[in-house]
Amino acid sequence: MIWILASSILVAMAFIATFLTTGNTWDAAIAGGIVSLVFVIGFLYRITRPPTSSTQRRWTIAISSIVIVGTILHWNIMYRMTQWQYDTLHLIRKIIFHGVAQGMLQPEGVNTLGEYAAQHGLQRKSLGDVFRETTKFDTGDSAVVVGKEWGHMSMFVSSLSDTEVVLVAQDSITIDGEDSHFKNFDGRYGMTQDRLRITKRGLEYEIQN
Amino acid sequence: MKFKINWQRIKSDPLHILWITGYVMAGGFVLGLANTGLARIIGAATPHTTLIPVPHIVSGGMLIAEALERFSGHPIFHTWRVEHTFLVASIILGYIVALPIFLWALRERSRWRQDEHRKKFPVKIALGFGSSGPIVVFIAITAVTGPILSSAVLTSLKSAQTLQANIDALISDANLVALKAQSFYFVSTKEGGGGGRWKNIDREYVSEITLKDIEAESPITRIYGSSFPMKRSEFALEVYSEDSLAIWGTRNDRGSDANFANKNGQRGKIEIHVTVSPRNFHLSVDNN
Repeated sequence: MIWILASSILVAMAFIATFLTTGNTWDAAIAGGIVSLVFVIGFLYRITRPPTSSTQRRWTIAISSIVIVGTILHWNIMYRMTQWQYDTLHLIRKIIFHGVAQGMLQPEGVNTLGEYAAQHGLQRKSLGDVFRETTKFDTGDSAVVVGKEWGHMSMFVSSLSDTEVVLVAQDSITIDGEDSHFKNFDGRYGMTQDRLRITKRGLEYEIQN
Repeated sequence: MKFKINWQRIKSDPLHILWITGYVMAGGFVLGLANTGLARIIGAATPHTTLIPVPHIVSGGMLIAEALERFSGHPIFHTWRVEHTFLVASIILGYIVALPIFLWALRERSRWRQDEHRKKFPVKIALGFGSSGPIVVFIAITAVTGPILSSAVLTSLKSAQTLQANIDALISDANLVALKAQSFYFVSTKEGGGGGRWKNIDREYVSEITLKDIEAESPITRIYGSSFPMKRSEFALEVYSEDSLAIWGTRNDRGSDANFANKNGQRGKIEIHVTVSPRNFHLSVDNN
């Protein structure tokens, strides 16, 4: 009884300590599981000692081994599978973001460049002026930065001059495994971000993070 | 050989395997009720508030729930929740408490049946089987069937999701190539563009836009995820007129039509194509 109580406390401590340290439920469950495994092996060793008959010992060890190995395998596969799904969902989210950002920024860039290129004669407007006339962004009278929110995506005019217009699309999710230190346009860190630069030399689209 | 059930013997032995099966089933029913009831009472009935000892399935479920939250753009907070209390309780209940009780009940059963002077109903032993049996049986069943089933699910998930993610990525890359083609169209020939056309361009060498002009002659390899096997996007281009062209994108994944003839000479690979005009484009999936 004392062993059960002590092991239960140890499992709880391992789980709680790991969770408080890492904030990861899987890590905490694995820590608790390892302590449980040590207990189960110790317990099996204890109950299969003599005077337990050798037949009983063999059966207990055989069945326990199958269950322990099967359970460890199942844990491992579940861990890999859920991590995979976690990564995949995040990946799909990123791809969707880049697709939507392209869909939003592309017409702005193509229309501005198209109108700029269609000008003839000496009275040609600057790229910035053409952008102000064609864009759906509310740029007002000056080259100020304007943000627009579409769902979880923010779009900004980050630079607006006679020779260059830079548009930024920023998502509200942080990207793990890529540049979590990337400084986003709005001052936050690690969010997905795309940028479209419009100059008279063309459109430069960049997936920044 | 005749199979005959000795009802008299079963009736006289309350620890017969048939009765034990009954205790285990009754225990499972009570455990299920207690589990649901407890979660309802404390107002935390979610799929993850369970005392059934499947911490690996619950942990995985919680991770997926977190991924979905993040997918929806919600911020993630790693705080202790009631699900964690249930999770740690299920580990203790399943792996620490249930097993010794079950083995104790097994041993006591053997002793009780050898006892010649048994009279009273063995309440403690029956309770031992009833309380620990469902958990131990459940652990044993999941230990045997779990790896096989989850392995099959993992393989199928990987295959389906890799394909879908690669199609999505190919579409994203093709959009980018179309953007570059449109950009090329509007840039003057002096600046290295087409000067308002994709064909009959006024320049010395090739008079049509090429993949080299839009930096798409080499396959695009983009790392979207640290552990995800993304394939390369390969492109082919055909110019129809001065203001109309099409771009084909292929990835090295098998599409639904195995006999599909890809633009790049391969067969059965996923393929999309984009019809581009100077200000618009239309994308369609040819083989997915």
